[in-house]
Amino acid sequence: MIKYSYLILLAILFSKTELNAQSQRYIVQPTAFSSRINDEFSPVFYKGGIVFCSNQSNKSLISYKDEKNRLFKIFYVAKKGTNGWAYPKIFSEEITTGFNDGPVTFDENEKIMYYSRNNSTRNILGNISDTTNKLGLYSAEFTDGIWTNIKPFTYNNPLYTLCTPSVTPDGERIYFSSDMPGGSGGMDLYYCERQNNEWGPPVNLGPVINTSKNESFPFACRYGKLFFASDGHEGFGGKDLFYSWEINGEWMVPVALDSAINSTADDFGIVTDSTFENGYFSTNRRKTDDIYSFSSAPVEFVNCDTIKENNYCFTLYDEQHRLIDTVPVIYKWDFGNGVIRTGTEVRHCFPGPGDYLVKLNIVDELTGKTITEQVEYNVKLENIEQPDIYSSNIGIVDKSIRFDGITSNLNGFRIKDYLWNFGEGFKPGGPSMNTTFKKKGEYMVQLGLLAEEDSLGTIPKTCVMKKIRVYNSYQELALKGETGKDELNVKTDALASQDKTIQIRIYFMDDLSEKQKAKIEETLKEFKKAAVKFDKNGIKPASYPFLNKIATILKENPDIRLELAVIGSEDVLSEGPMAISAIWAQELGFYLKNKEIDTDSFHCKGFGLSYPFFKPFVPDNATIDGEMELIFIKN
Amino acid sequence: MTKYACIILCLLITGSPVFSQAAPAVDENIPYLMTFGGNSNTSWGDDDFFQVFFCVIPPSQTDPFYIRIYDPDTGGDLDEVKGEFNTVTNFLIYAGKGCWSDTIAQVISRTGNFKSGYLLSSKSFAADPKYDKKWYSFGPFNPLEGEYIERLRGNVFKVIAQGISGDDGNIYRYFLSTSPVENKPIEGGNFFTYKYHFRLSDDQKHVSQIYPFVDDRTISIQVSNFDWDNDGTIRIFSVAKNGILCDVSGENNWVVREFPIVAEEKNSTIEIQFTKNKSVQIRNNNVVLTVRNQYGVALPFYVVPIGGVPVYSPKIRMK
Repeated sequence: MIKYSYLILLAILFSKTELNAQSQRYIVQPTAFSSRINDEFSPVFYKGGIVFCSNQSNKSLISYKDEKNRLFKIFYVAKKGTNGWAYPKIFSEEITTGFNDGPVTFDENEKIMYYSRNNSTRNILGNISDTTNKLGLYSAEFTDGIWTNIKPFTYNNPLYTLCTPSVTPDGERIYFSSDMPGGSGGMDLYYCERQNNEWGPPVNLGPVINTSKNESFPFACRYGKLFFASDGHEGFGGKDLFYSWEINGEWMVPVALDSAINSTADDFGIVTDSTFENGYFSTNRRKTDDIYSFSSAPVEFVNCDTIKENNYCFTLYDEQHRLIDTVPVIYKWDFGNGVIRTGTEVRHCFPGPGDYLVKLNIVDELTGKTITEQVEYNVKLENIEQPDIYSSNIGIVDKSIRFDGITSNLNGFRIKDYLWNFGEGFKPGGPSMNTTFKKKGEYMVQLGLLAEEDSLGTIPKTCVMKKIRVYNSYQELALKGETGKDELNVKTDALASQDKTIQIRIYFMDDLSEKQKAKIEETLKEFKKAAVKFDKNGIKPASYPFLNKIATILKENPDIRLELAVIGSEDVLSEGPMAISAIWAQELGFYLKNKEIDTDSFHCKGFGLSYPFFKPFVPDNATIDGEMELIFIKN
Repeated sequence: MTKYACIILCLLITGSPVFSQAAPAVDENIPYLMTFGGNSNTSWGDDDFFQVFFCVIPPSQTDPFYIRIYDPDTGGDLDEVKGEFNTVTNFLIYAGKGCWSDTIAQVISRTGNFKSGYLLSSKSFAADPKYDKKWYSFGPFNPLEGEYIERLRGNVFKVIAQGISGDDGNIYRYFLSTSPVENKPIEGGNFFTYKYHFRLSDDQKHVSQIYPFVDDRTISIQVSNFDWDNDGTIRIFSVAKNGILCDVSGENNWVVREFPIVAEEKNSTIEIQFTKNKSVQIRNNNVVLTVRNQYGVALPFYVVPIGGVPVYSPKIRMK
């Protein structure tokens, strides 16, 4: 057996992503209302000011029994002028107890608050150091100018603590910290989701977030970022602030915040604006707990690259065979999983990055004998190292478009911040963003990425850009032909066939001329309700006539461009690294490419079920497995 | 002394022992050698009525050996009769200095003194039922009488079959043996020739092959075949060729085609394969074949391929 090993590093085909550096990301300073004597922590935004916890004197009638263990109350401090602060005051006498109150979180309308406090408040003269009086969560409503209707959280328990709540901006989920049984040890982060106006059971955030030590002080930011404090994850010392985000139910590895925010002391209790540009956090770097403000230094990205498409489709051939006459030999290429292709040159799309083994047998057609038996060919496919913007290339005015940066592939570049530029400069955001464009035109969307600070104190950064064409309107072409070759088959038993049927929809964007539309319509006139079929070998030959017509349109009309979007019912192949829709899309793209069509004339992309563009695709196992949108635009 | 032939062979011959000293060898799947009578018409398939083979006896063989010929006469069922059998074939065994190393011994044309060396033994055979489908043994020969060639790592003897008279085809084969009465192979022995005269099988399913050795000076080869008679295809296999078609000759003519030799093929055996015509049965097809390098120097065909049968090794590429 002969063995060959080849390494196809796609990355080296392209220049490596240029990384730049940012010297300083955040500027921090203590707030004026933080004293050097008292503790202040866990700020939250409220009516233009800050609500926070503090053990400072509140001038109320309740007095401390033990000066060393002063109780924490909820205070409010209003902004005074541009940079000043008013004197802090008790936030609400109605919710203030004789024990510990806070921290607090508000819903988006600031009509409901959730806060933690000691569960038992009956005996105000009790020992405040009594560890059996656990903290629990409570809610209150703002009615007629006061906070009232105080209710305990469903899952409070006298045997353990629930504290430091943070409700998401949409009010559908509440995070909190608890030492309830079943966790990873110490305090763990949990969330409950709203179900029919009740909170569902607590869900532990799992081992990616929770450690055997303490995770607490969650803050749920817009765009899905969750900030929290931990002394279990590797940080700068003491409690440090981290953030993570959840993608398809999986939490990403937490990222430590900037060294300006984190320190060797305890850093915790953060609140930020939606873009993580400005906010406040708590720290005891001055011995007592204080609230510091932070603001981001401006970030600029230059020389953003355009996105390069990963390619997993190749033509395999025997170089020696090409050099000589055509001889009657049969090349049988075994790509595994029962996929065998025959020919001296075969085209194959691998299902994404990974290591593959191709076996080749060469059989003498004249004698039927094997000339070469099982030559093995190792193929290693890697994604291009680059930031990525995963989105449709086209959009409609005032219709939201989703952009994903999570598909970025940068080895050794631990992404800390996503900054998006939708035409108004770079703004911090999450891994996924939705945006709408208000006017027709071409937009260059940019994604900037910042990495964790390196040992030299610099912050590596990189960026990428993608052109988005936005249109006012579109129209769908109804195929009216008679040809039934590619017609949809109603599958009576989906399990009986491994074939996958992709329904086709054809759209014209509003920049196409009537003449161009007429050309397309004329070329496709023989087809009706077309579909493209796939099996394990790729596109089925029955679908070639329709695709050949598409190729003809593009070949004969260089002024027409095709955006081909595939939406698949099966989001991910169980055994493959790519979504099935992405595999179908690359098969289609490879087919068109091999028809010698200029690759600038078309673009194929798979979008799973996540990106319905014109019409939501509803999987229907009895008939179709996916949908293909052929969107014709002016080139 | 030829400058080009047999370079590097010594390295390759010292591989694992080979025992098949029949010519043609079993793996060649060629049933017989052939030599026509000196008065024959070349259109029967023999261009010059000579067959020159060399045999290499390794130094390890110190005991006497025999060169055996199967069916040496021209008569009976096996041989090809033209009218009545009237052919005489002379078999000559040469040894000693110049038997191989004399340049003229290695050339394809029979114009010079290719009977170099000294005559060790000879015998003429006409039609004689005594030898029909029987073995005749020349010898015993002292291996040391052969011409010792370091590059070939052995003592070389030359066997010439010469069609003296008549017009019939003598069909026969050889065996290098340690015994005069049975075929007992000599470990490490081998036959080679520069011009292969042979009879193809009549069986249309048969695939035959011969194995020229390409030395490191070769950059192209000229494959010539004579009187192929539309009997299927001739193809070339090697580590870098997976069945290149050769041009084939018609009745009573030579056809030559040149093929490049790539680096991987140098110092290796290539295979010339004969696939019978499947649609028309060609009987008693006699063929002559030579392979020469770019200088016109003949390359040797070894009945036991040096380095083994070549296996095509594809160069897989992706684009």
